[in-house]
Amino acid sequence: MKKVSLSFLFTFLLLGILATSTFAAPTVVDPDPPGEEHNPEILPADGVGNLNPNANGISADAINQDENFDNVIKSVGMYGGDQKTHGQYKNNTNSCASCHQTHTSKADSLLFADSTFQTCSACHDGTLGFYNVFETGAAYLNGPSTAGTFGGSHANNMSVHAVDGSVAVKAAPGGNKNGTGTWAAEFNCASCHAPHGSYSDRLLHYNPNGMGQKTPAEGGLKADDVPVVDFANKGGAGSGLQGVRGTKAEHGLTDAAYDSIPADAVVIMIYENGKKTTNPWLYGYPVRGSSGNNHYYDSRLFTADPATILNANGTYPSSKADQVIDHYDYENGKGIISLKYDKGLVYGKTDEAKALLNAATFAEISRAYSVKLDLKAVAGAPSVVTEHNVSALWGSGGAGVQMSQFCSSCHTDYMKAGSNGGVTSSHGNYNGENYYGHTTTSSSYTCLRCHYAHGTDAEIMVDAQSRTVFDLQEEGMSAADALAYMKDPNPSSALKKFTGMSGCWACHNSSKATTLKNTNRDADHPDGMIDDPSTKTVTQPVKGTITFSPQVNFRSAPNMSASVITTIPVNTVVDIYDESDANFYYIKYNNDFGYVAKHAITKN
Amino acid sequence: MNRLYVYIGMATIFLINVAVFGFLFANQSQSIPSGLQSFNNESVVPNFTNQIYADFSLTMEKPMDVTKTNEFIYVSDTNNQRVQVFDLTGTPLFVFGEKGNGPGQFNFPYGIAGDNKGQVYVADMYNGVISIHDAKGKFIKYFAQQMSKDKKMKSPAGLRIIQDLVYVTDIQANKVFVFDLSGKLMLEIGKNGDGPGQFIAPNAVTADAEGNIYVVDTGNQRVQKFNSKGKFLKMFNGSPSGDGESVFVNPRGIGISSRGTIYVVSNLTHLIHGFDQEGQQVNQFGGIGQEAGQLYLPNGLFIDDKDNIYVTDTLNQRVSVFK
Repeated sequence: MKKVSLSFLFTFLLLGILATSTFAAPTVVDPDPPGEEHNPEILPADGVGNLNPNANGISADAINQDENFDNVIKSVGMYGGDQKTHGQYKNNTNSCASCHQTHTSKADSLLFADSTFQTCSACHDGTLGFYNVFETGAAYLNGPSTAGTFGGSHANNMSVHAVDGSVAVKAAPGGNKNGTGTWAAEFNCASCHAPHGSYSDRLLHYNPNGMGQKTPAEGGLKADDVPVVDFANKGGAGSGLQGVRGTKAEHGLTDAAYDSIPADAVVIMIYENGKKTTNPWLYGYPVRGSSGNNHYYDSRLFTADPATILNANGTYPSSKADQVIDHYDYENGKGIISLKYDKGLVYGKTDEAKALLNAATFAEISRAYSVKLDLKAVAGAPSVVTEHNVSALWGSGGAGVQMSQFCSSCHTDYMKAGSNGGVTSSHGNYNGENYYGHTTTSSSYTCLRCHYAHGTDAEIMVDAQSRTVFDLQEEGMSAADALAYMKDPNPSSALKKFTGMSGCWACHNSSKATTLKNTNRDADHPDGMIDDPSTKTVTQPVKGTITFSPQVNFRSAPNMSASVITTIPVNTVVDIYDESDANFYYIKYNNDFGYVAKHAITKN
Repeated sequence: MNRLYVYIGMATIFLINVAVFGFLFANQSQSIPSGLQSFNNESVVPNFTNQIYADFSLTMEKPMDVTKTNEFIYVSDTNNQRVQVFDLTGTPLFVFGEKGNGPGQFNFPYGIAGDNKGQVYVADMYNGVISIHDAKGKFIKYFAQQMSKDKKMKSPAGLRIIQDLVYVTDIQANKVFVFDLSGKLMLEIGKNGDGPGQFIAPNAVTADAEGNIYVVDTGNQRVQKFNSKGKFLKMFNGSPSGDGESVFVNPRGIGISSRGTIYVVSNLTHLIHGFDQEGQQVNQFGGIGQEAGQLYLPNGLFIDDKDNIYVTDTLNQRVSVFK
């Protein structure tokens, strides 16, 4: 019985153990002990991730080549067409949420925050494989970009447009350093580039520094209360800005883009010194009225002197509405006047519309900037990658003056025909005083002749002989010496393409503006103008490895009796600069140039 | 009663016990709230745990990638052209590297990974090279240098070392290279384009336990999966079909948790998306901001063996850790 009871005892014991283990509270393995001790758990509000559940692609869509226009809201390509946009926006787009928050934004314009530079450089740092604005040295010179680099080094005396938000627009040399409004705004990528769309290539801004809405006296493009005259009475040189009323034929509007305008329509355009301008007109309302016609629109005409119509803030009382031709009279405002913002004109087709335009006596038109660079696709690159010939900017008929006009929206005093007789500064360095400057209104001396748009660095500058640091190395200079030679000696390298003041020679080697003609012109630039550095390509030396053991003689000349500079040990990698000799390579080793027998080197 | 009956009786009672309690166990297990199960549930959103900041005088500028070895956490401090090193708790220790294109210098240090010897590999996208450093940052040599010299590898970006294989993405070549640790090229995937197996600017790569390769195809806003031989298997982008409208805007870092959840950074939406093995989205976290757990232009992502998710938070100049 003892054994039996013992057995039962063990049986029940076993039963108990199994039962206990089965019903025991399961061990909860908490993978993430929340909120304990040193690492308090902080949960972002539930659904925070849903605030911007992203978008369709920005870059990919721009790259996809099989899209047809019906599937996109705005332009397909970055070149061709009038209006450019940053990538494409499909009909079910959510891309806006990349930068904007509909209801809960921290910054104005519904932007997430002021982080333009970081947002742009999230892709434009090379991580998308193109349009790398930090590319410098050989990669820059060989690439399609012509704007210079933001990626220089202080050691090479870099200078850049400080687009990281650290300065205000008024910091621009030649600008209004005491300015308010747009002058006081943060300077960043979006000061010059308009991501939503632009009339210019490279998405250059249509209204930089608000200058489309400022008068010429303030440095802007606005035709401010200028008279509207019939074509026959239009002024000539010195007449400044005028509204000119004529027919399509009188304005010379023969392009297919104007086909929708009837031949007998009354067309009003803005002329400058007797010449037609095609700057697009700005749309919008700088002052928003409380009701109806109290809005102040950017592009409007008057049938009486605006001084007798307008309120102090630019709006007008409803009783004067019939003396103002503005948004409410345009077709998209359900009016009778036709308007082409992008072509910079209004026209009337019906008798009623013609009569209204014929009654117009004054115009107040804010005008957009437009810079056409004649972009071309780059072979072998994604379709959005384009290039243009910078040198063409200073040829006759090039876009150089448009470009200078763009730059001088902030560097206002620099856009003057000032070298001959001087001009009066509108604010800038010599506020109200007379000063002299290069004539940037002439296509030969446009800003981009001497300056990069983004920034510079010794690695992408050239000297008066149009040599880069890479050319100098090929001529035998060491890399360190070449950089020291090319490093601009001034406190700031001022975004220049040429080191020091060697840029003067880029044009003045033909001795312009003096009575002594320079007949000793350099053979490399016989027409007296050095090409833009962007035309340079850099050939990197071929690498080779010494295979001759234990070492090989490094000689001063390509023959076996020449003096030995030093010896080079086996497996050393050297740069081969010239292979033309039958038996010797011309190589660089330890910053010395010399010759090594071909049989002692294997090219890598 | 003899001994035999006692034994038979005991065995019978034992078997009854096994059967009864086994039955109970099997049927109850569904409702037992074991930690393991919540851990295994893919839809559980990783929680923010902590942030790693650099020393005050050595603030990070645009940290692009992060990795962790047995000894240290390494962060490529890209715009300062150096690498920041932290201990495993995130305390800053030291930095290495400076601007330039010589040995030990960087111009755009991007992908970073450690091998089993404690060495750290750094991909420099601008210099076109991958350098090997010892654990303390001392330059040892270039990895697969011939590929750089031949310009076959132009702009190495994403870099991971998994099971003694080195995975590299090349943004300009639009390729993924797989090397052994000696630098021998084992596999090459992709070319420029938007078809299956083609890339536009691939920024990151990782591999799972079976050697399947996941490539973040940034320009095409998607992730592509290949088997270990480089055969295209599938693509996903958060849309139900995998190639509809992408949830990504500028996708960057990628990592796989021990459970098999694939986490991908969507840079311009400041979110991390989690996907199951089928490529269906199971969760997302992050979101724009500066607060703890929020991200601002996140880029690199690394998951360690304890499933800590390290994300470089470029504009906030830190690494945020989730689990």
